[in-house]
Amino acid sequence: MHRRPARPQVLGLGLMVAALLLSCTVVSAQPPHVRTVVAVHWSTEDFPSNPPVDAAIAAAFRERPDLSVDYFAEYLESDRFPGDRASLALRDYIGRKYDGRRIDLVVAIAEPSLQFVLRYRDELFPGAPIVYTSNAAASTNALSTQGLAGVTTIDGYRETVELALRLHPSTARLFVVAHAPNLSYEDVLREELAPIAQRIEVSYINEAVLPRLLASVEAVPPGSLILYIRHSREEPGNRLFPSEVARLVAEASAVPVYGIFDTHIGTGLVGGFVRDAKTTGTRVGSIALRILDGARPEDISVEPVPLRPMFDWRQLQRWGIDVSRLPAGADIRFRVPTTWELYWRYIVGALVLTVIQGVIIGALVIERARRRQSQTRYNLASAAGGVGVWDWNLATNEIYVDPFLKHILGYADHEIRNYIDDWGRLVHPDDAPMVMAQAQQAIEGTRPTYEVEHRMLHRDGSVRWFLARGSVVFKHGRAAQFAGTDTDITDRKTSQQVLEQTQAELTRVSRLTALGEFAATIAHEVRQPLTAITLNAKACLRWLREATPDLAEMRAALEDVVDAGERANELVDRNRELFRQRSVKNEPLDINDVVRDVAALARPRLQSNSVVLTASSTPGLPLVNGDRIELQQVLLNLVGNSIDATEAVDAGSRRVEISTVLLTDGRVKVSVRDNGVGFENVDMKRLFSFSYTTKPSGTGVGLSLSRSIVEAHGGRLWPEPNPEGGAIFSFTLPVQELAVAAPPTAAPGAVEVA
Amino acid sequence: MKTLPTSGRPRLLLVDDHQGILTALVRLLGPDCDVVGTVSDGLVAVEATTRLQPDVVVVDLNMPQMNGLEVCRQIRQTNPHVRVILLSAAVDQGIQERGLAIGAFAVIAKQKCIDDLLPAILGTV
Repeated sequence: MHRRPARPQVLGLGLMVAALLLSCTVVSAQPPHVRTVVAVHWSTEDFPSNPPVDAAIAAAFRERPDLSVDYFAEYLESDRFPGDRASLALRDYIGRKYDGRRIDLVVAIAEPSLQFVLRYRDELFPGAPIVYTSNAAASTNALSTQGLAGVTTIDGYRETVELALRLHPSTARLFVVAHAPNLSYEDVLREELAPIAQRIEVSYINEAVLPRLLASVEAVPPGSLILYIRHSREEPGNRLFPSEVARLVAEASAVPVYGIFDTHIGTGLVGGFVRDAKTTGTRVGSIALRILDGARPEDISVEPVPLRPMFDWRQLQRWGIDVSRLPAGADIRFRVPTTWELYWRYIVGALVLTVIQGVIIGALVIERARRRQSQTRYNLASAAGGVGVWDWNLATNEIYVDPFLKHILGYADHEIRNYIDDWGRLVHPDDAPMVMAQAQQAIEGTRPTYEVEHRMLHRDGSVRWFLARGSVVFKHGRAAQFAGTDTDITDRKTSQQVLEQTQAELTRVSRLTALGEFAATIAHEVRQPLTAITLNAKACLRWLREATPDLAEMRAALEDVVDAGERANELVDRNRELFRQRSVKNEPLDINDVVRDVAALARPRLQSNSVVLTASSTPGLPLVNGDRIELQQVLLNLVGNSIDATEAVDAGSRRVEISTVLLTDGRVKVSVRDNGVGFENVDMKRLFSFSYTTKPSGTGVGLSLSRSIVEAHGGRLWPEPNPEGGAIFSFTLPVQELAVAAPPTAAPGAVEVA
Repeated sequence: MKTLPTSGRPRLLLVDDHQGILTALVRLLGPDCDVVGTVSDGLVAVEATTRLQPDVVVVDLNMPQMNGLEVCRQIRQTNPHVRVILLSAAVDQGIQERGLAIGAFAVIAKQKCIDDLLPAILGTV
């Protein structure tokens, strides 16, 4: 950065400063390597193009710290002070200011400055090379002078207009705004724009008075373009820079305004091929450095500073000009950054956060849905399986009970408090001690698992069966939590009970059915002794009517009466039990006794059907465990079937044989063999099916029930054909373990009982 | 088989598979009739009838081997002059008709044999 000298507007102040600087110079001798460069600007310091030029020059020097350049800028202000007055004042000022200080290089910005420098060169800057900028349009007759180097600045009139016409192809007219008090642009412009004028109409607005100028601008018809060169005001006071006028023109204009100075871009002009202050400054700085480095100014060729295509982005937008249509390397300024450009970090950040949040929310939603699904599934499973969970906090006695379980008992969730006492109150009073005892054992750890079937009281007073399962969680060796499930097994229990009842009923009915076939003949059996009793008694009565009764005969008759009575009792006793509803017993019994019972029970039917029954019992069989009546029923059923099966055989040769035998594996086998029809027309697969029958009046219960009874005794019942014709039904029974075999009875090997 | 001495009284052959009944019948009818034999088997009864030539055969309807109806039928075939009285535990219309159809002189309920049997036997003579 250059040091700014005091402004010379007040002479006294300038003298003081000059004196101060002078004294400083005297007091502290400057190091020999420091170079002093003084730039002379033609206009005031605040003229818009000056600061960028100065900045570019100073920047060039800063690039070379080894050269140690002191850069100063002075301002001729010839535009403000026309005539020689300003030049003379500046001459004196610089002369005093830099007195005693060697000026190594002078920079002259623009034509007036160059004139000034050349005029006072020997006086103020003896021997110092000069670097200048000069408008190529202006005549520089002094350029042959020794020690000069520089650049020419050119104005892009035609380039800018051509560009503007390309961007606005339908343009019909061009208006050129240019006015400067001491300069006449128009001749130059007419020459420059001659090719343009051949295509479209070119008009000039050379209006010194601003309001008139703006009125003219406002009057520019649509379909036109304005080329704003510059406008310098003549009136004293209210000084306006050309760039400020540019703003007013652009505001007044209804058509696009183009310009040729970089400092005008940004005021409302669209753009143009402009003279760029910064580029000019950089070029000047570069040449100055070369000279300071020892180059001869004469050896440095004078080159024009290239025009720069420069645009105002906002105006491009306003006039709908696509950036792609601009010349290559266009310098687009005042670009209003988009919201994205301004805030992309925030936007990206926000988006990332939103996405992350979204992902988290999504995950939570999915998780929630999954849980809900899981809960739904659980509820369904819970309801379907009749299972609900409970969780008992042993420290607080709070218990979570699945609302489903409460529902089963006819309560809403809130109607039963979640305390163990409230829940426990619903356990059936008869089961409560057992349930609590088992729970206590589980809590104390003396029972590894808790599993108990118990009843619960429904709100309506009915009973529900629950299967409770659970386990205790121990923390630090203490029972802390007791959790598990309750399963509603009411249906199972109910159906089990119903099934048991049905089976019992069926057994009884079936037995009655089977026995019913024998019942009539059993009555006959009992009638025999009764008839004997009656006959004997009547005989006695007859004898008593005689004068000398034969007492011996009477005694014999009465003894027969007693015998017959006892026999009748026996028969009644034997049969009565068959018809009684009774509980199943499991007692040791001799199967041969059962065979004898059945032979006796079947006798009437055997007789009425003219069937001969043979019993071939193996004496001394081991005892079996079972129910005598049920086994009688099985055997009666088999014998009954055999009797029916022999109907087709001649009356004299119908035979049924019951045999008992001890098998080698220790089981007892009972067989019923007949010479009946056998298994013709019998569906063997369905033989034991419930309700399968081949008899016109059969129920189909007999064999099915018989097999069930045998299997309940741990045995097996099966059919086989009789090799001699007919059928054999056999069943086995396991013998009583460690049972002492019944003492051999006097039963004969084969007794004809019928 | 037990043969009693003959006289002018009705000669009876008693057939029942129950010995107690046979004994009681003998005691009851003995004072008024000559029981020429008792058998407990239907097959034997037909043969005994031919051999003993009783006036009346009293047959229990319900017997193994050969029931009373069959015995009655065969006796009526082989010895048409012999009267057969059937004894039954229960007498209903069907039994009555079937018995009479095969030539039985009477079908009488066992428990009424005091009141009805003796007059029936005596009525045959």
